[in-house]
Amino acid sequence: MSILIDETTRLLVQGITGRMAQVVTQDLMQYGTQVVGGVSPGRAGKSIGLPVFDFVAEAVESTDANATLVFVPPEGAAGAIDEAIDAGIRLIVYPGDGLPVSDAVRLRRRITGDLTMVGPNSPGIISPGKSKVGFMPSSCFRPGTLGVISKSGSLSYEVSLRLSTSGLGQSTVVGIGGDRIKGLSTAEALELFHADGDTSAILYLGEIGGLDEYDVCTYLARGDAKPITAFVAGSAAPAGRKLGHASAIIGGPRESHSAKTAALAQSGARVARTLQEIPELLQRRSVVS
Amino acid sequence: MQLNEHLSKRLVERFGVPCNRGSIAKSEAEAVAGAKAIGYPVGIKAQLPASGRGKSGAILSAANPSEVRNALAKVLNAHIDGMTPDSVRVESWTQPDSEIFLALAFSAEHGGPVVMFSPNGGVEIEQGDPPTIVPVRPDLSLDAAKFLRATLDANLPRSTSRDLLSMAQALLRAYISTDATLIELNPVGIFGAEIMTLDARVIIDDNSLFRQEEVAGLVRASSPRPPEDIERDRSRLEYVPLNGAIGLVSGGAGMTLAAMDLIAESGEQPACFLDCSANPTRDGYARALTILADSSQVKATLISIFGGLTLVDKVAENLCGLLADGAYEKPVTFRLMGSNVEQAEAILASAGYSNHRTIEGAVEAVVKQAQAVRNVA
Repeated sequence: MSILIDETTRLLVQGITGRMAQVVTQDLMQYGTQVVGGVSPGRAGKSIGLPVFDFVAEAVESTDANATLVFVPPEGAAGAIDEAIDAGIRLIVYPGDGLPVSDAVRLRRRITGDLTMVGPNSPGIISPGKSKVGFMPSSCFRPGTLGVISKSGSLSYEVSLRLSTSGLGQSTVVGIGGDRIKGLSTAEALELFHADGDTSAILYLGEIGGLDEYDVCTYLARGDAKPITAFVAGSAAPAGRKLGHASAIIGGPRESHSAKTAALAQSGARVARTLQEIPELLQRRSVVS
Repeated sequence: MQLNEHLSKRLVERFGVPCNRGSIAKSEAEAVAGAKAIGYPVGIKAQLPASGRGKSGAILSAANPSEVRNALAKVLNAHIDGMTPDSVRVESWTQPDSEIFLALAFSAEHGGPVVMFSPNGGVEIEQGDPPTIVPVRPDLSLDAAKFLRATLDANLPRSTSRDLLSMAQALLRAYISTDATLIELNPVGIFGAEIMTLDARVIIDDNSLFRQEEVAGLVRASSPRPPEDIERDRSRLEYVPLNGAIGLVSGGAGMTLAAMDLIAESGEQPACFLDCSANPTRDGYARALTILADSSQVKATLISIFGGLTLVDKVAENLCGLLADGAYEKPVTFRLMGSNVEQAEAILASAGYSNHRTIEGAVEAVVKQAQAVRNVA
């Protein structure tokens, strides 16, 4: 098993006629993701060997797609996501950076029940060896039993590569993004990994700013929590400056590196102080257990 | 992006929020004329989009023309967040009976906007009890009853409570119409039966500027602006200058932070947070190298890109081209990984550079380069 995506995932790419979307789609097909078609309003036809539809509903009707990767610029992104929700798609991955906060707030309120949106500002999801929905470099990942949740795309590549070369494969790696309003939240991603029989332990890659890391602490408080290793980027970051991600700013005292790592350690997470320590801690754990 | 006080007040006034009278002055003559029109005493307030002006000596009062001239000179000399003001707002400076805090803010915790209210406004807001929070309903309407309750519980006169309620309604209209993430009125002064905004701060969501052309235009025409905002408009780079000697050209916020952490651990400090992932083109990297070349504190630079969507052979090609053209002549260390790294290494090798496959090795190398530069000097 894995979470969110596997061999059965049938993917649409919205905005498929864009140049970047085509590069990404070809990479996905090469990885083995079942890409069943694309959507590009007013451009129905064929593109890179795939059927292209004007509307998501038409695409779902003729391809049985159950997931969509939204490669639409911020101006049209909310509309494209609305259309996917209305068409009954159950998994929406929106990698884009720059979605207006008010759109994110409105969309977040539409995400209920078994509907999942991953993003904005996410590299996507990969269940190694099964399926990839996003644009992370495939060579960094190996199949295995570690579930990985990351706020940052680049950091998830770096760490996954270290895991893979240390023999620590991954069930699924999900980039939840660094925005303040997210689709899939830290708490929800933890729930999914908790319920996944093939995930034996979880790695959480956080950063300064926001309070997501405290959801990890809450999860660890339950008796049957899976073991968690955590890393928080930004130990050297100055307070009060926004560093790239919308939420990567130390606002209150609880948002600092020291407060988060202390809280995580206290809740029973193993906290890696450096990148190097991440596979070391995980290997030590697997020897013990 | 944040609006300065004057722009903030003009914006909320449009939606029906009462503000005190004031005018902009750039010279002694303008300031004295402004003060005369309003009547003494006046406040002389530096206009720049930053908080903490009071503490930084950027707000002074004046009771006559000579005090206006003195205050103007002092206030225009303030430095906050890398900015120096070039204008002041001259406004009436009557002490209110009491000061209230009223704001509309985006709250990640509540998943949307909230109204914040405290009867103890002004500089005391940070020390006193936290403000009362009234979440805006999902349909973006104000919970008027709950807000009114909060103001009555603070023992405000009913007429003041009613005025504050219409002020909150106006703020909510302004917040929605302008894609704001914060509108803060602090303080709102109570003068007998009258209430009036004495200071205001508006922050518009950077991601909404494509549909907030008017506000974006006003802000971009204003001066000074935060260096980060200017750089983002100019090159789409996320650039925050810091104090260290190690230049860092990076991609992705998380890896940039992680690289900064490693630099700090090695005993050096990063010269900047500089994330090029929004513009990983020759132009973007050219601008990044120019910033670092022009900064005298930078001794050596680490170029660290872990490419997913960004193909690192393209990165190598662009950067080697720029370095060959002399865009940056201090020592440089490469750490490229991810998509097309083998091709990238071939390009680096033919330009005479080696690539570090680990970020730890790269940080060690760039720190040595910086120390060597220092030893020569």
